Amino acid sequence: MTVSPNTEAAEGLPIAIASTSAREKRWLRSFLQWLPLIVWFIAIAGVMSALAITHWMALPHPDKRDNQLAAGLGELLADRPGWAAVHALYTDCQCSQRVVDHLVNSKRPDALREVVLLVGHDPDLQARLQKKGMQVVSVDAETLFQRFGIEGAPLFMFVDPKHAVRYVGGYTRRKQGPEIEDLAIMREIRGGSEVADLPLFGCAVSERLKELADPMALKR
Amino acid sequence: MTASLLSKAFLPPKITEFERSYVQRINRIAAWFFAAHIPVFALIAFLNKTNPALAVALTTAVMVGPLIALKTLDNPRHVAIIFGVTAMAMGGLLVHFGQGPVQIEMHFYFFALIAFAAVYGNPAVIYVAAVTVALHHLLLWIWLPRSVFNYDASIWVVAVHAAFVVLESIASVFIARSFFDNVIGLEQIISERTSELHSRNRDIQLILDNVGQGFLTVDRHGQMSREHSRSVVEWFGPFAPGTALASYLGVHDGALGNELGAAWQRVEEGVMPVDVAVSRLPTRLRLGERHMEIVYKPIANQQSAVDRFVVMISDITQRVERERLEAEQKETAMLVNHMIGTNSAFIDQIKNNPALGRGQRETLIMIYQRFIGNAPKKRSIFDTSPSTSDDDLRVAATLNDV
Repeated sequence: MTVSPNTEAAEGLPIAIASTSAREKRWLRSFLQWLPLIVWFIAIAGVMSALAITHWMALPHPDKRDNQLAAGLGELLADRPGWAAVHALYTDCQCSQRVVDHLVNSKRPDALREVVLLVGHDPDLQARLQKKGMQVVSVDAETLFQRFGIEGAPLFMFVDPKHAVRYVGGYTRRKQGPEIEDLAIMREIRGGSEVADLPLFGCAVSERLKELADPMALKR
Repeated sequence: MTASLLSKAFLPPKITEFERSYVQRINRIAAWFFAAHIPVFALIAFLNKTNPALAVALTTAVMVGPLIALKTLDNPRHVAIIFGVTAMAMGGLLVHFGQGPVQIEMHFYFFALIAFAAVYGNPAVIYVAAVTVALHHLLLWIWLPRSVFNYDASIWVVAVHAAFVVLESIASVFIARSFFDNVIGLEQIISERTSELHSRNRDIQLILDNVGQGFLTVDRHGQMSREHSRSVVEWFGPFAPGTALASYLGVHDGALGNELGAAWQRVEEGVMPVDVAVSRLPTRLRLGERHMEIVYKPIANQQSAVDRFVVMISDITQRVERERLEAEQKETAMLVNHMIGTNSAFIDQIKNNPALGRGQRETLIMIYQRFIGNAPKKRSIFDTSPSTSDDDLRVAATLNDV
């Protein structure tokens, strides 16, 4: 007795295998086409994010009740009594340079001591500030962090005659905000009002913050 | 509802040749547009002291994506999507390298480029651009340690940005889809409409080819239009649109041709009402041994002015033959009636002729009933007088007497 083979199954199987194989090949071809583009997308998304960190995130700064800051400022301003404005600026930072332009070009309040804690070396900038009657104290990033707990710039601090820190924060409400508000802040505080600290938009100064804010070292 | 919304939100999968050509052209323009960003961004970085060399490097890196896509992807829509990502990445670079007095204004780039993306006529390009920005912010959100950075200070700014991006994206998607439907997809729409029109024309032609009458249309000058039934060609030969109907029919019936040509001038001049002028057109035509009847039906246009006519030509040979036979029969009947006189005289002769026996009388009455008849159903085909005349009633009574 002869058993006839199941021709349908016998013929259908190779067709099915061929069909699956063709489908897999198409999928593989499509994947290989898109793979470089997927890598490109991930890479540029990473770069964009790295660039945007300090663009829309406010940098950390010490609180006005911070003991380290109070001690540092107390030591810095110990030689003279009275109201004092302290500006922590960084020569490599665009936002700091903008604040320098503002300090130099604006009419500063009378009977106010102004000290600039300047990180980086820029004799021209230093000369402009000194010419305006400001005391410039050159510090390195490490010292700024160790003595005052400051890691980002530009940071504005306002200290009353009793050396109590009345304000610590940024100069503007927004990143590159159009209005630098240090004069208004000082006027209000001296008038007896409390002022909420503005966020610090600018540049990382300490190495620790630079690592976090610029992980790809694109801005260094 | 959802299916309808989705069908509007995404393009149909089929890409026409016109769309392919259009999107490929826009892709080429986009490639040059973004390539031009390299020197421009370098200049912006130089002016803002934000590292021109880095600007060149990063802008070039962003350009790599679309260049790969142009080289490797077959589907131009996919390349367009890559350009959507590129646009947003370029925006990110511009905001960074444009840090300076107009940094805030640099954000306008995102909104301008989302609007630009509408020229692709593909909502997916806008979705991808918007999602790229959202993804970038999400990545940042996940990446940054909350313990260090202050989110609260700027999160509302991001929310406002996002709201405007979403708002503009919705409007751009609507414009892009409308652009696709009404401009890029026009070829597809025309193709569908043409196909529909062809189908209807085929149906009409099928009717015209199978109807036993000749149908054609003529304009006010008496010139034939393209549409005609097959019978017209079978009867009168090759059909040439634009030929005068009088000339076309005149080949077969010269007299009619001349008469029709002259009569049509009155229609064309419009001096007399159209109906009157049409009623003066010749309606009978000889085609060899055949008799044809012509009917003209004026067709008014949208301004209610008659500018076309439907001409129906029917083969009435059989009808004419029947009419001729009927006329002959009538003449014969009249002749026979004249010969045999009135029915009363005939019956009187049967009744009173002494030479006729009963059998003969019955035979004659039978013949009378058979061929001339006394009742309406049995009336002779020769008899044309009213069926219920007094004469008939009297004859019927006499026959009963017999």
